[in-house]
Amino acid sequence: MVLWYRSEHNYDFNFATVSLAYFIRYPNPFASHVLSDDTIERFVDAEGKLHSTRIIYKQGKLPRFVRPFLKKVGGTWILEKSIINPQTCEMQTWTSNLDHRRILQVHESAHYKSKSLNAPSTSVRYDVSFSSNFGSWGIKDRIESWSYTRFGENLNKSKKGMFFVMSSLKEHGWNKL
Amino acid sequence: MSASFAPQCTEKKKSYDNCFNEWYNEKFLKGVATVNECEDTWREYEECVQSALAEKGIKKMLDQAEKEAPFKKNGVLTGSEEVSFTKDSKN
Repeated sequence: MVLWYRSEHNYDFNFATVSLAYFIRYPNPFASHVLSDDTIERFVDAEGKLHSTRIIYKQGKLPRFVRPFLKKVGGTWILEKSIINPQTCEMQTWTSNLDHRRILQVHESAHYKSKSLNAPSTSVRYDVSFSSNFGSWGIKDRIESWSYTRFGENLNKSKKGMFFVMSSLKEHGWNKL
Repeated sequence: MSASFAPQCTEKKKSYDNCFNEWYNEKFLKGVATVNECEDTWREYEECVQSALAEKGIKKMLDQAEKEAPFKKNGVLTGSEEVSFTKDSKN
């Protein structure tokens, strides 16, 4: 079974602020579990879209009941891809965990869109799936619903983090951060 | 600005990120330049990160995830409305 989560949101910031905030959203007070982020690939394609690949390292948050099955409980690596189209003011992002994939795979994609570069708001739609290939059906279901339940609060925190970074950007500009 | 996972790369990352943020904000978004002007800082940072990735054995994990990546369709990142998440049938 795969569990799905969809959520829509509107940020009262222009596309320039939202898209830059996405790249510099760590560190922020709502993401103290994020230890690092690194860009490993970046290019502009023939249509003028910016492609980025990053890896993010977070302190581990897997459910207690799967811990006995892990060799060691450390952090989790996250792969993040993004494509930004400055002409249409759209940003497509995608993330997934790199390790513990047999226990749980979380795929999150988000689509940001604004009417123009300086339009005062940007909408975003999140689509997330949770799937586990772990052991028996009972444990799989537990892992999936555990993640699903946690996801709502995690998404809330990440929105707060984005809001924090966007507010500082708006107030101080990107070069004062 | 956040740290690199490899402490020895953090300074190089900061130089690159500073350059990128300025280029992104002042040029890329405004359509003034499509060429990345941060080549020098990028090359230093990339070299540092790539060797740290290999050392830590993360590269293997990355390649595996790229291989089964459900976000790619003909090598292109799809919009979320087009993405079909397929479950790994192995195991």
